[in-house]
Order: sequence, then structure tokens, then C-alpha cells
Amino acid sequence: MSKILTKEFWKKGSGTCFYGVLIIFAAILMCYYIHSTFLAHYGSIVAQTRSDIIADAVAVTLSNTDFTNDDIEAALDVADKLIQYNSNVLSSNFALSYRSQIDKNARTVGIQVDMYSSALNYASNGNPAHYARYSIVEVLGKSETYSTDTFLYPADPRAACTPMFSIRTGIEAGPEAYWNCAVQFPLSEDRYHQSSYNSDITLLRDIMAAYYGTTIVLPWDHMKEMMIEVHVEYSLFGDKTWTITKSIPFQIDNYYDYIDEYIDNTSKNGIKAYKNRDGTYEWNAITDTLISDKINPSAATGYITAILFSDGKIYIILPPTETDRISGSLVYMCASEEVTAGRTSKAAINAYLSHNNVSCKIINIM
Amino acid sequence: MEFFKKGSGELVAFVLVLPILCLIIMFMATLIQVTIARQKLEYATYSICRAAVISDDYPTAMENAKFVAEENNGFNITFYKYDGSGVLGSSDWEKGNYVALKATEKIEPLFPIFFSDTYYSIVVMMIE
Repeated sequence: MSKILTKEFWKKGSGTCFYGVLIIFAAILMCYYIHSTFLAHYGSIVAQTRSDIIADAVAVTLSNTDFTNDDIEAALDVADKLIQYNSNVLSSNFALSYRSQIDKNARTVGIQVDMYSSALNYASNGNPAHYARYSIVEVLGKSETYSTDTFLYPADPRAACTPMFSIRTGIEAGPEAYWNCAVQFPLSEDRYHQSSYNSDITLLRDIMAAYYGTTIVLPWDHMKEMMIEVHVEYSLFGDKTWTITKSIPFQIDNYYDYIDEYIDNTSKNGIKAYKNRDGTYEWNAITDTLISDKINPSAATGYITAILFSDGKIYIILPPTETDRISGSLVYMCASEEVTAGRTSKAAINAYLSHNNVSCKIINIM
Repeated sequence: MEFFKKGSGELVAFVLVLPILCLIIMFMATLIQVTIARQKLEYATYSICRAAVISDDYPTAMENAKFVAEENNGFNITFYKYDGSGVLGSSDWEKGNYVALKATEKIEPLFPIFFSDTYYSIVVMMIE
């Protein structure tokens, strides 16, 4: 018999084998807890999204009502249905319930969704794991002294290409909804322009600062990707205050892909421009950066469009008045459409603007 | 030679244990991959459906949903009217109706034997 098949041979490795088995058990235990951890996170996401969905639906149902008991009852019927429907489509491991807090005076809807999971992640006491997530939505209504028009500049042509802004009439939603607004930015091609993006972010900042004291962190990668983080502090169901941070990476793939060079002339003349691969220059607008030392300060507003043409000259399109931001936006949109459409010339822009009866100045500052 | 013979038992045990350890590590990585992918799928489904329910009509809703779906890794999406009557038609796109959106994604993790599958997420929202 070969020596390798003797008992002595196996005894030599018994310690290692024993530790090996221990390691395997430890690894299996790790698998279990890792899976539980991620499943718990997944469960919290499910609860949060359902909370958002229900709060939005209740707020929409309550919008433009008097907040009578019948109104609230009808809105809560919607919440009941959404809980039931979403429970039906979820795995049987999950069970949903909700609590609501509707404040007639503040016209807010607070929804807390409780989700119980009987999957792997049992709580330490043996009960199903429990996740509670909150959403709060502010509802506009008949008695309000403000309206979405105040915030959303409805005459702004950008509204046509920002469904979230224009369609969410009746709701000035809570932080979750603002995050949703942010999600909608790429829906319009115009959102790929930093200037427009900045304008909307300014708008968001205004709204959020006015109502929630929130901050937004908005780094902008000029080439490929933008990340929006919305930090919100608010309280609901008592004095508890918490913060939500959400990040949304967007791949900006259908506009800036063909731009390979970014030219920052800010230090020189306050204008940013892009250069295309084919050597032509791309227009770009700047907002919130006044270049009053270069142009007529009385005409300077947050809506200044700078166009850098392929001949190397930069033209500035100014809104007609300092206070008419909507007109300023119109000018901006006209210009951007023209330039985007066909690398237009100064004459083409002049013709376009005069055709649309828009009064503005075009200044060559180079 | 004697030196190696002394540890032969340990060597055999380690060789036996090693593939199992590798499988367990792969299994852990797979669990992480799948659960993270499902989390992203859940959020994406929410975002896609959100983009849809705020639209004025069904074609616009589909257009917006597809756009957001493409932005979110190109999930396949399907709309259902949530009362069992099948795919939602444009005439049914009214505020207050309920719509279910199903997003699916094929996930092929590191350990594909049991986990390589088409995963899905469904949310039900009210058309706003």
C-alpha cells in the first residue's frame, strides 16, 4: 500500500483541514450577512420609492382642493390603492403599510411607508425586518397666496422642454420632488448646455432656499457627466430632523460627445466657449456671471448669451431690460436654437431676432 | 523532498479547500453584484415611471420613459394599466388612473450558474 493512503498521512493534515472547515463556515456566514445587508438596503430603497409615489399621488389628488375631510378621504383612498397595488407587484417577502400626516394649515402631505421583509434579514428579535421611510410634499391650493407661476416662469420657453416643471402644476413638492425635478434635466436637449442647467439650478436653489433651507451641491463636469446632490433638512412626525442626499449621475452623450476641447476664457473676458473637433467654435452661454466691465452694466442680467463664432469673434446677446428675465430667456432660446441648428452667422441671428420682434443688442467685444 | 512530505497533508487539505473558498468568494461577489444591480434597477424603474406619469399623453409618456430608460443603462420597459386589462392605450392616459411600469435587465454576475437571469422591478404610480 502506498504511503499516501496510510492513516498517518491523513493525521498530519487534520489541523489544516479543521481550520479550513472553520473558514468555510465563516465565509458562509459572511455571505449570509452581506446578503442581508444588501437586502436591507434594497428594502429601504423600495420603501422610499413607494413613499415618494404615494406622497406625490396624495398631493396631486389634494391639489386645488379646500382640504375638506372628503378631499382628504379621497386622497387617502388613492394612497390605499397604491399601497395595495405596489404590494401586489412586490415580492411576497415584502409587506407594505403606511401612515399619513396631512397638515391642513401648512398644506403638506407626509407619508411614512413601513415595509416589513420576511426575507433573510430578520431582526434580532426574530420579527421581520422593518424599514420606515418618509416623504413630505407641499400642496398648492385655492387659498394659497403663491402659485407655481411665481417660481416656474411659465412664459419661459424652457418650460416646454422641462416636463417636470410645467406639469407639476399644483404641487410645490418636498425634497424628493425637487430631486425628481433634477432627474428630469436631461429630458430636454437644451439641458445639455451648462447655461440652461445653471439657470434651472438657480431656480431650484431659489425655491428650495425659500421653503426648505436646503443646499444643492452641483459639480459640473464640462465634458461628460454631471452629478446632482440634493441635501435637504426637514422635519416630519415630530421634531426629528434628517438629511437626504441623492446623487444622480448622468451620461451626457448626445451633445458634448463631439466637443473635445474646452476653452475657459473667464479670466480674460468672462466668456466660456467650446471648440469642436472640426475646428469650429461652439456657442455657450454664461449665466450668473456678469461681465459688466465689458458691456453696458444697465443691460446686464443673469441671462447673457455669449456666442463665439468660427471667425473668432464673440458676440453677446443681451436681454432688452434688466428686469425682464423672461424676455431674456426668449432671446437666449432664440439664439441657442439658431446656433444649434446651423452654426449661424451674426446676420442670421439678427434676422431671426428681428423676425421675432425681439429687441436686443449684439455686441462684438473682441 | 522530506521537507515537502512533512506538509503533504496540509497541502492536500488546502488544495481541497481552495476551490471551495474560491467558490464562496465568487458567491459573495455575485450576491453583491446582483443586489446592487437590483437596487439600481429599482431606482431606475422609479425614475422612468416618474418621467412617464407626469406626461400629458401616452406617446409622450413612452417617449420620456424610453429616454430615461436609455439614460439608465438601457432597461427594457413595459407599461401596464393596473387593472388587468393589458397594455395601457393612449385613451386611458388620464390623471388619476394607475399605471404599472415593469423594467427588466439581464444580469450576468461573476457566478452565473444560479444568478444569471433577467431581473425585473415593477412600480405602480398614479398618472399625474
